[in-house]
Amino acid sequence: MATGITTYQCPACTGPLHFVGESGKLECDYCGKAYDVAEIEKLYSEKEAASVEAQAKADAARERENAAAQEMGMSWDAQEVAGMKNYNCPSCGAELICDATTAATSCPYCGNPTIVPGQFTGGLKPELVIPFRLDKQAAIKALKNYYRGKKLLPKSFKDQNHIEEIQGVYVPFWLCDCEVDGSIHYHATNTSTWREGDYVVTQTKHYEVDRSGQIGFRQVPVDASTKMPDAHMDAIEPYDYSDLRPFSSAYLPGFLADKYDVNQQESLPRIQSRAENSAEMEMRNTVQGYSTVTATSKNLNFSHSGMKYALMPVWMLSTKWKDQNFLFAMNGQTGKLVGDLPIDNGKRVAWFVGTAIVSLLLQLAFWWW
Amino acid sequence: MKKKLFGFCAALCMLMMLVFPVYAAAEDAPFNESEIPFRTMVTDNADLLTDAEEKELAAKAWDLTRTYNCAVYIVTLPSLEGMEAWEVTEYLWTEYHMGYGEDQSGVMLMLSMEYRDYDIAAHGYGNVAFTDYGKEVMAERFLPELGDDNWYAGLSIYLDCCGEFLELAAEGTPFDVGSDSDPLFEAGISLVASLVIAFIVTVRLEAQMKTAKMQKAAQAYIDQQGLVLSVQRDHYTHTTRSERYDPPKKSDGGTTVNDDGFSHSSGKF
Repeated sequence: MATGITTYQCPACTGPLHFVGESGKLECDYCGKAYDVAEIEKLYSEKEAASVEAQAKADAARERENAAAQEMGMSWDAQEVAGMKNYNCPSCGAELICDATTAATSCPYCGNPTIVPGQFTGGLKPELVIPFRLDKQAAIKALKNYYRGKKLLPKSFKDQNHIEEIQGVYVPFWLCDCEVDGSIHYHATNTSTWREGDYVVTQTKHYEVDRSGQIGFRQVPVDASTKMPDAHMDAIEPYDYSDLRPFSSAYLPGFLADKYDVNQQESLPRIQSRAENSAEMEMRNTVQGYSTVTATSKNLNFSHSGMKYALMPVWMLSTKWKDQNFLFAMNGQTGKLVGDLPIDNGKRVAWFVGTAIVSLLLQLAFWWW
Repeated sequence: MKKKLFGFCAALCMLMMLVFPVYAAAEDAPFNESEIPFRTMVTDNADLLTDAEEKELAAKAWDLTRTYNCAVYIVTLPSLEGMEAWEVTEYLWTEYHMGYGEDQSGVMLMLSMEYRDYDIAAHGYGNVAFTDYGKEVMAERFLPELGDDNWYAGLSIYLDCCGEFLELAAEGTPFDVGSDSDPLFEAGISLVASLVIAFIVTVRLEAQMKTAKMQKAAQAYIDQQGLVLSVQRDHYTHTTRSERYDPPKKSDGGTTVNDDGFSHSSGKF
């Protein structure tokens, strides 16, 4: 039932290879040799094709087994089967059960980094990838730095919370080229005020303002994985697209990777909303020289010219404190880290009361001076 | 014409000199009656007061005058005879040598009935005791009564204000901007402001704790061309005008004194 998966092994010692962001090379844990991505890619291209073929056969066999098991009343329900895949670790032989979208993982028994064949082939193959630039230690350091300066963080949180899990994940993203064209109508006013004797006179000049135009966006990212929290993935933007490379599975060893499970059509509303909001902001910025500006009507048309499938590097860190889980995400390229922290209610009240008292004393001192 | 207009003032002056006893002892220096040539503290040419009321007000004004060495006058007139209210008070002050001492210290409330004008004029030490803001507040207090033709009540309020402001000036803190603020009200305002500041600070600190937020826009991904406008039209349509009654308040305090040493606050009642 279990099938084979691909590991990138060192041509010199057959030890497992990991992609190292700092050097941009695949390095062997055992003999320390480093190899260019292209070199390993060439070496393994044939092997990978054979694995894909084997995987297809294995999938067919599994379907037959499932059908037989169903007849015998021993099967898992359809939803469970649809969401899982199983493989054999080529290093230790253990049977691995993975999520159906998992494309790269590591064996929980021997730690061998593995690539699941077939996940990134044909139409499912990503076009682009940004390789990891920052390693696990950088992520741990960034998390510690993240705690600094947080006045409302419970004192015990830093000491008592432990990193439960830290994973480098290649997250599937859609990069969308799109355009918004349309028009917005504004009502604008200019107000001047002066005094005439005991009266304050206000004169308001009214204007009708029209703006029409179009604005293009390049590679607006939207994460294509339901496993990843959208807020975390949005907040670690932007990525430096100058690091975008043509996809190669040789970048994956040592990290987790998922294939997309949110398709292009499902991703479009989020992109459209962001693009239209930006178009509104840009048009509003051209209406200058008025005291007030109010948009009274708008007509915006969104269109997209293409979407590229890309994998982006993200460090996901999970910590636990007082039976609560806290999830953090760090951009594996830029180091930007986001996540929600617990709030010490005592500190919150102390800051509120303290600030109010200091502010009150300063004001009273000012009055009495 | 002016002599005719104010002839009664001189006569009344002589009368008052006989009526009022001579008092001594002021706050800082002994009161010296010879320092005040014009001692008719109330001159009711417009005939607004009864004799008893006039005497009572005059006694009160004289008492203030001798207590603070600062002459306190009330003058009512049928008409300004074409002059401005401030011109009339300055003319009277100069012509009749009003005020106490060398610097002619004093304050005068003049009412003219023809167009219901009033002017509060101060001179010498009166400019110290009766600041611009003090004169405004004084007017705010007595104008409602004068507006209802309650002459005695309005003029009594004027004298009460004179007593209050002269006392404050004698204590070294003349009534000015901020003198009449309610400490409780100010403390309440400060408390509310402090709570608002504390709320803003706390909300900002809380925001630091939650950084995972959805992006609302895509500014970072706008292409090099940016926004290309095909229509950019700004069209003026009309103008509207509104007026709000807001009498000016002096925020910096003090007294505005003209070249002749007078300060004024005029208006209608």
